[in-house]
Amino acid sequence: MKGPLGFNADDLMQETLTMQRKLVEGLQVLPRVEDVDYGATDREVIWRDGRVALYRFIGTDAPVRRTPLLIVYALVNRPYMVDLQADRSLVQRLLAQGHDVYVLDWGYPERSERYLTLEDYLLRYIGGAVDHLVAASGAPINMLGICQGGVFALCYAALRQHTLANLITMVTPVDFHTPDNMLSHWARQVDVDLLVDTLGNIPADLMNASYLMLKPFRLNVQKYVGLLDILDDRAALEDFLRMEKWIFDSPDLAGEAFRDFIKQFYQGNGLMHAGVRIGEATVQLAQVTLPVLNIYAEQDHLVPPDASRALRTRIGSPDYTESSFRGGHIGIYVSGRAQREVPGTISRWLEERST
Amino acid sequence: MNQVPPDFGPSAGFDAFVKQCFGGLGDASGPAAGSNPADWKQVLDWWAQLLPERGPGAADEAVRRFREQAGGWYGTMQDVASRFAGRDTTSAEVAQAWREAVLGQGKGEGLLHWMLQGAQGSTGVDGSDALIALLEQVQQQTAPWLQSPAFGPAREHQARWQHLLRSQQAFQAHSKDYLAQMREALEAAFDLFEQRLAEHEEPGTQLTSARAMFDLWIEAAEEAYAKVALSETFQTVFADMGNAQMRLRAALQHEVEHMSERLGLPTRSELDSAHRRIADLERQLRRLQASVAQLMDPAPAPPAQRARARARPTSPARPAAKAPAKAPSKAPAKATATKRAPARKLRP
Repeated sequence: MKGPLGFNADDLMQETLTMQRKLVEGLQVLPRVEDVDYGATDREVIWRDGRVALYRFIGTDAPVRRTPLLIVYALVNRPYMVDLQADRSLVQRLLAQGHDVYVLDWGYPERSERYLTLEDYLLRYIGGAVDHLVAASGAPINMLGICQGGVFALCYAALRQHTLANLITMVTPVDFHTPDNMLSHWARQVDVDLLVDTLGNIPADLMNASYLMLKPFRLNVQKYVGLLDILDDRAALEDFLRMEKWIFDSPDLAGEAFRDFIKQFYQGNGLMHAGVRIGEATVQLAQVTLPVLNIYAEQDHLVPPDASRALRTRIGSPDYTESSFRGGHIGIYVSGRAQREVPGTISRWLEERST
Repeated sequence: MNQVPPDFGPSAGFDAFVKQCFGGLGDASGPAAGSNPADWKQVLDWWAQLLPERGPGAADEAVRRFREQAGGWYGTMQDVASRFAGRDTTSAEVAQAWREAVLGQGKGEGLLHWMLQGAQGSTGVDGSDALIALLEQVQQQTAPWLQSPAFGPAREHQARWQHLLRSQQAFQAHSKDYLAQMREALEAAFDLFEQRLAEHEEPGTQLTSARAMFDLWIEAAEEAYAKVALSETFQTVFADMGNAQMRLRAALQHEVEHMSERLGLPTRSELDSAHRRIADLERQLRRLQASVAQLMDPAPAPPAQRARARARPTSPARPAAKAPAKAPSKAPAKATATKRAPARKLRP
C-alpha cells in the first residue's frame, strides 16, 4: 500500500476487537474499583495556625538524620502528591533514608482568607512552622520547596536565612519570562487587579481550566482515550483515578496572595530583576547564601527547565548544585524513575552537607 | 439519554454486550458488530449503560469523559481510517477526510466552544449562564435604549444597566476574537496533520492502526495550538477576553449588591471589608510579636554557630536513632547526577 497508512480492514477489525475485549473486561473491573484513597504514610499534626497545619510523617523506623526536612508545597494543589501511594511516595523514600520529614499543608482557604498576602504565607505560616521546628530541634532546618513552594522557599530563605541549614528547590520557576512559558505568556496582560477585585479568592476550577488549556488535546482528549488501555487493569485504573483526584482536588487561592504573586512574579519577573516585595522587605536571590540544590524536570510544560535553571544566575550561594530529572512536572513526584532517583539525590546532597 | 438495546436487560446485559461485540467472531461473511467504526460510539454508549451507577465520583467522571472522547474523537478517527484501510492513498487525501469528518459533524464548532469555555474557566460567566442569556435577550430588545442618554429620576439606574449591557456586548465581542484564534489553531492543526502524515509515507514508517493516526493528530493539534497560544496576538486576545469577562461579572455583582442593599441584606462588600480588617489586625499583631522577639533576642546566631552550640540534637517528637552503617540508596542515574553550577554567581 502506498501512502501513510499501512493497515488493511483486517488490521482495523483486530484493533476494534481488542478494544472491545478491553471494554468487556472493563465491565467487570470498573465496578470493583473503589473510591481511591491517598496518603500512604501515617502523620501527625504538630503545629497549626488557622487552616494551615504542619504535619510530621511517621516512618516505620525513627529518623536517623538530625535535621528536620520541611516540605513546602504550592498553593494550587494539595501536598499529598508527595505521598500519593506507597509505591509513589517521595516522603516514604526520604523516611527510608532516615530523614525526619514534615509537610506544611495550606488547607482550603475560604472567602474569609481572601486578604492573606504573600507576607502572611511566608512569614506567618512558613515562618511559624520553621520557628516551631527550630525551637524543637535546637538548630536550623532543611527546607524542600516544590514548584510555587520553591519560590516561597527561596523568598523565605532570603528573609530568614538563619533558620535554614540547606535549601532544596524542585521544579521551581525563577525566570518567569522564558519564551516557552505559556502560562506566564497568558498572564502578562491580564488585569489581575480587576480579576481579584471581582472574584475575591480565585476559584480552583478557573485555575484547573487554565492548566488544562496548556495542552488541551492531550489533557482533555488523549488522556481519556488512553483509559481504554487500562480498563482491564484494576491497579492501573486506581492509579489513574488517584491522579485524577489529585489534579482536580485544588484549593481556591487567597485573592491578595494571588494578586501579589501574578504581579510580582508572572508579570514583573521580580526574582530576575529588581527583587520582590514581601511585606516591608525586598527579596533578592543574591541574599540567599546557604547551600542550594535545584532539581528541575527536563520535560516540564508548567515550569520550563530554563525557568528553573535561571536560579544559577541570581543565587548568592557559593554552594549551588543543579540536578536535572528526565521527566515532566508530575512525573518528578510519582514516576518510577523519580522514586529511584530523586530521594537519593536529595539525601546524598544533604549528607554531604551534614555537620 | 442513550438508547438501550432491546435485549440488554439488567440481568442479561453483560452477556448481551459480549454477544453484540463478539458475535461476528469467526463469521467469515463479515466483521463483528461494532467493528464498523460507525458503530463504535453506539457500542460505547451501551457499554456505559451496563456499568452500575454510583453517583458522582472520580470513576464515574473518568468514564463519562472516556465515553465522550473515545466515542467521539476516536470513533471519528476510526471512521476515517476505515475508508482508507487496505488501499493506496496520500497524506493529503487522509488529512482532507479528517478535516471534513471533524468539521462536517459539527465537531469543529463543538471543539471551539469547548476551548472557549476552557479559557473562560468556571466563574459563572460563560455562554450557558442563564443570567447571561437573559442579558443577551434584553440587549437585543433594547438596542436603541442602550444608546440613549440617561436622564430623569431613574438616570442612575439606567446608566448602570447601560453599563452592564455594554459589558455584555464587549464580552461577546472578545469571545468572538478568541474563537477566531482557536479557528486559526484548528486550521493550522489540519495542515500540520497532513505534514506529519507525509512523514510516514515511506515503507517501514507507515501508521499501523487508527490509534496511531489518532495520536499523530493529537501531536499535530498540540503543536499548532501551542504556536498560536504563544503568539503576541493571542496574549492580547486572551487577556482582553478575560478582562471583559471580569468587567461583566463585576457589573453583575454590583447589581446584586444594589438589590441586596435595597432589601436590607448584608452585601459581599461589607463582609469583605470585615475580613480585610481582621487580616490587617492579624498581620500587625504578628509584626509586633516579631519586633518584641527581636528585642529580646537581637542577634540570632548564624547556622554554623548554632549547630555547634546546640545540645545533643533531638527530633521534635522522638529522639533520633543512630545512623545506619551503610547508606540505603543506590548511586544516582546519569540523568540526575548533580553538578556544580557555573562560576558565574552574585555575592550578597
